[in-house]
Amino acid sequence: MSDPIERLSGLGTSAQGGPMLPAEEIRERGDRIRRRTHVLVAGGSALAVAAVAVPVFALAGGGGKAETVDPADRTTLSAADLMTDAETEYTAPDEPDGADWHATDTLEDDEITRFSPCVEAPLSSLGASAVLQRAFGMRGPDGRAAPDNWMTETIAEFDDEAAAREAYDAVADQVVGCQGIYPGEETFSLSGPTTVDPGVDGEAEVYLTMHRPVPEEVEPSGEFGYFMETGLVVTGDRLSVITSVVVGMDYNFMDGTPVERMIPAAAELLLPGGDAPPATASETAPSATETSSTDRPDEGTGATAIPDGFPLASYPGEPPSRGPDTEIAGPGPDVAGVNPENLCGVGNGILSYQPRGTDRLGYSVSEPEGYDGRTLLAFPTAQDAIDEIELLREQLASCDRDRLEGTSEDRVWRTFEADTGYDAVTFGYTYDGPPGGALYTVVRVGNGVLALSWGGEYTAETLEDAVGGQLDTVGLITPEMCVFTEAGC
Amino acid sequence: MEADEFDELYAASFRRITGQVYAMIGDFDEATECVQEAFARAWAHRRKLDRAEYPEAWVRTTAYRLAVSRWRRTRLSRRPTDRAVGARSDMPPVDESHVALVAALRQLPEAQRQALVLHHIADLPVQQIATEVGVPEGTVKARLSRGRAALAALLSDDTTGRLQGGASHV
Repeated sequence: MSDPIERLSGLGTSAQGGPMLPAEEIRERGDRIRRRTHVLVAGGSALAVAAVAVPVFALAGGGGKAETVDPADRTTLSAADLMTDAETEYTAPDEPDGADWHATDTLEDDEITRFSPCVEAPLSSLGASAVLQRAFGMRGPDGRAAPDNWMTETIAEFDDEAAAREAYDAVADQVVGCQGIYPGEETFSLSGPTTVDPGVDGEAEVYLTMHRPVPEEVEPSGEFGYFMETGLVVTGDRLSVITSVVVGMDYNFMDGTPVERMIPAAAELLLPGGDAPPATASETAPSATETSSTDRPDEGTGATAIPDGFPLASYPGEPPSRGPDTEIAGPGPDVAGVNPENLCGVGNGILSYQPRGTDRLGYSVSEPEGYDGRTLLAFPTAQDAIDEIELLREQLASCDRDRLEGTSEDRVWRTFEADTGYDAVTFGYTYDGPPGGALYTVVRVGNGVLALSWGGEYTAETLEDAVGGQLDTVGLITPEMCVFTEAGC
Repeated sequence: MEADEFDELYAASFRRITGQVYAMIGDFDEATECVQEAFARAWAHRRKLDRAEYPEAWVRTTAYRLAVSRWRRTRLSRRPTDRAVGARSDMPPVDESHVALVAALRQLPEAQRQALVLHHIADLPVQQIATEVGVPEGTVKARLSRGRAALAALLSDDTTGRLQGGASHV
């Protein structure tokens, strides 16, 4: 067969061997993907649902408050009676690396706007003598925030058991009729109530309502809806209302819904007594991205000139070699290294065109599939370097997405939790549409700042996957930056 | 789409799509894994698949994108690729007669290779390729024309080389 087109056609019919996995296994994998879809919808316009999500936006700012519970006063309602990060549940038990809730704020009665999109009246109008609320946000499996998903737990104390039970029934009645609360809501359905054993003397049930579709700004396909769970627990004269709203295509959990799984823990906490643990994991173990430069130990100022032979071109594996498609530049003081970048039109920091610091070294590898750029900067003092990192953090905090002039696709910026052991920030962008993006890590050691940029045809998923590899490279170089500390190497 | 319909689509088209993706990327193991993953995503988004005019095209496009992005990611980060569905299986050896053809295909620009595979292996008309790839029909025709010429030249070189004793072409 010499005709290339005949050979080509033949390839299609003969190169079809290979084992097939059972269709059932493929569908099981698909079901796991679909469950994760709930939390992968991020970056949409939260303002579109502001009409019903007011309580959350009021709660979400400012981070967790310190608890002010008097340990001697355990018989009155306190923040110790609210769930913490440890008690919350979202991802199914067989997917421990999935999404999860984290506390964002704790509010007292007069600060609470609403406790459910279905109920306008505050719990105090239903007879509660004390009310507290904790708000939770969601992080996806990659640590990325899912801003359209939120949860609150609101607890209340009443004069007696009958009043608590009456409030329980009143809230349940409102949830059952919770139709048409979202702008543009076309479909509403109610599941439940599902009775849950609270594990304490009392009662608990969970209602699930679905409101479809979500606005196009949140998810454009029209296939997604808001899935709202309302969990009610009453024990003695106390009531807990857990409200969670998750955007997704569907809401299937094999081992109980998240709120159903949280009920026993919430019920136990609702019993009078107990200590007040920190509301959030970050109160005890701040992540790299939540820690500012000033929270890091000051290593002082070291060398202001970069030593000869600094190993900026280090690789965890085999280094690239020059070839017809591979251009390597540096390391050298005049090599560009990290490509200049601006975030939301602002480019006056480490990644800008302007010369920075007292000395610099650049290195880059350019291939058809991507770009690996590195820049090392020495600053006059450690404080100058800290200021640069803080400026970058400020720019990142105020830039979720932008669009370069002359292009038609938004760049969606993300920050990753990645601990290098130093003062560092890892971030990047991908496009809304076609593959493409860049991943950056900027790390400070004393008065030295190292920046790495990888460019390529990334998707949101592959950008996240590349973080580990970039940090491996960072980990090879940062120990050599001890020259920029007061103690030296 | 119900489970039995999905299973039917999977059984009928898995091997065919794998062959097409293999021709596009030149790696049979990778093609198999990406097609498996694409079918898993198809099941995850079956409402979308219900509305697709050509479900097989949806799966093929997804598999091809996965393959390309995984290949690029591996090259870029120099890390092993992930294995989303199942373990790497023992694949049957690819017919030796196809090695030179696949090697030649890989030397073509990506767009020309894709057009050739979709037209001559997947038997898609130009109009459907244009829709699937998202370019005008004229662009597809140009890619096919250039791709055929380039492939013929490459295979001609290959034949000549073998006749001359297997001299390499650097």
